[in-house]
Amino acid sequence: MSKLVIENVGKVFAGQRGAEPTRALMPTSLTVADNDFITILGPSGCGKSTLLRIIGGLETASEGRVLLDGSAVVGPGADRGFVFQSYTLFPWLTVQQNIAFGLREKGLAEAERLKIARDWAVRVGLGSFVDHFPKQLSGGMQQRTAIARALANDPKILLLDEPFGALDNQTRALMQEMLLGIWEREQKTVLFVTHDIEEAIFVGSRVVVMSKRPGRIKADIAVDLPHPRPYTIKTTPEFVALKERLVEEIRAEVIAADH
Amino acid sequence: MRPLQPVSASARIGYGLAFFALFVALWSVATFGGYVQRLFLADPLTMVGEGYNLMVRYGFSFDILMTIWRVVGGFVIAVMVALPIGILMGAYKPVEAFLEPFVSFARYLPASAFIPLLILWAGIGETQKLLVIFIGSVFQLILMIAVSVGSIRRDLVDAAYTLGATDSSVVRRVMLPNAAPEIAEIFRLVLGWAWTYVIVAELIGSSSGIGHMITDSQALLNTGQIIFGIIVIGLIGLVSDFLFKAVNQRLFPWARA
Repeated sequence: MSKLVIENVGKVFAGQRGAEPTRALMPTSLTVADNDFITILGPSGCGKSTLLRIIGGLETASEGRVLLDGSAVVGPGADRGFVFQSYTLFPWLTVQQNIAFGLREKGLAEAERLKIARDWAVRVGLGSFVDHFPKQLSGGMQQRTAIARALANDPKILLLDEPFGALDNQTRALMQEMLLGIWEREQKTVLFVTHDIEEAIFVGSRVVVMSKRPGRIKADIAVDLPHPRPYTIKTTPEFVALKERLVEEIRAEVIAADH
Repeated sequence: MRPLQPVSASARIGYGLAFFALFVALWSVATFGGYVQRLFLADPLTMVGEGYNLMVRYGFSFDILMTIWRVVGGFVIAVMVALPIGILMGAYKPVEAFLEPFVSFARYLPASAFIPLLILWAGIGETQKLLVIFIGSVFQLILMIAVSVGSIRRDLVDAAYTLGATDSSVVRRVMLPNAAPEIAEIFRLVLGWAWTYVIVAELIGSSSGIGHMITDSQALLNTGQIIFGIIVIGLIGLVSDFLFKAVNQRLFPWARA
């Protein structure tokens, strides 16, 4: 069944100081099945983050609506976990307290919150860092904590906005494997925005390609690669063929955007 | 010396003390060397002697305690008023729009100019002294707290909302702890300013306190006592500054650079 339904969602930003309003996103429709892992791929500034922020309730749509389990999304909420590209851990809380943040909002008892938080810290490989403050962690560790923090809330869907965009290549590859591993074990519905083609194929079950600004869905490509996916899959002919196809799709958009 | 090259902790203390030594040396040359008349500026030794007299024979420690109590009292009242207002202003834009113009205006009203009015209203007792400190600090505190609470990174607030935070818990659990180290720093700064107001308040219509001693000594042309009083103020400021820094570092280990 479909978990998330996006119906003709578009976004127009009002013009500043009498300037013309800018359209960031054409009316877009997309249906996401339960436990699906969808990556949204597009050039910078194509409105893919705007779409994700609308689903997360951080931005209001100018038109259309978003339905999660049949009910319309209004404003942000704990049922949609969000991981940002920027580091958004609360600097005054330890790793464990950060992960437990949402659980406290839900009103769980402290012992239970900390237990769940510790479990999640272990699952993202930070079991021995629970009492560290964010500034004592590397970028990769901070994003792992941010993912754990979003998942600890047990959201219906996990939204990730270029979560590994600020990380170096090696760390990024390890993070992709970790995220994929979590998804294979936990079975979550995931929406993952990225501009990295290889990343989009490696973690996704379906790649949605967006056009240049104003964004619209240009292609919707299933990734029929088996799970679990080891990192070595990136060199298989199937993977390379998919990558070539997507490179062409994106290239056309980048060229069009520059002219 | 190269730009931004750090110095070791011990060298830092050494440099700091060296300037104090240089300062006393210049003062000694000016006074012992006879370049400045004794009537206008006492030499360091006379100052120390007068200080001893003040402490042992004239009960100056009572004056010091009175002054400290006034500063702390007025400051604490100002903090109790400024903290909730500042937080509300920082978090809620309509509150800010409502109060900010007036507070910005009031902040430029010099506290010392209120003294005649305050004497009229509250007499020359402790209330008047506390009010001077209060007026001098409260508007500064409100504005600075409002700015520090309001200057939170937008994405931290967004993250809190996506974790299910309510509006009030965004203020309590995100904006407040985020601003806490800066607010503590603001307290340290404004407490320093409060010290200048208390002395002014004590120069006029007071029968105790460091400022009162300074006016008394002026009548007797005792520059040694005046300088001793000023130095005591400086030392108290230095100690309170040091304490504040130490407490802040302990309270906010996550904020240390």
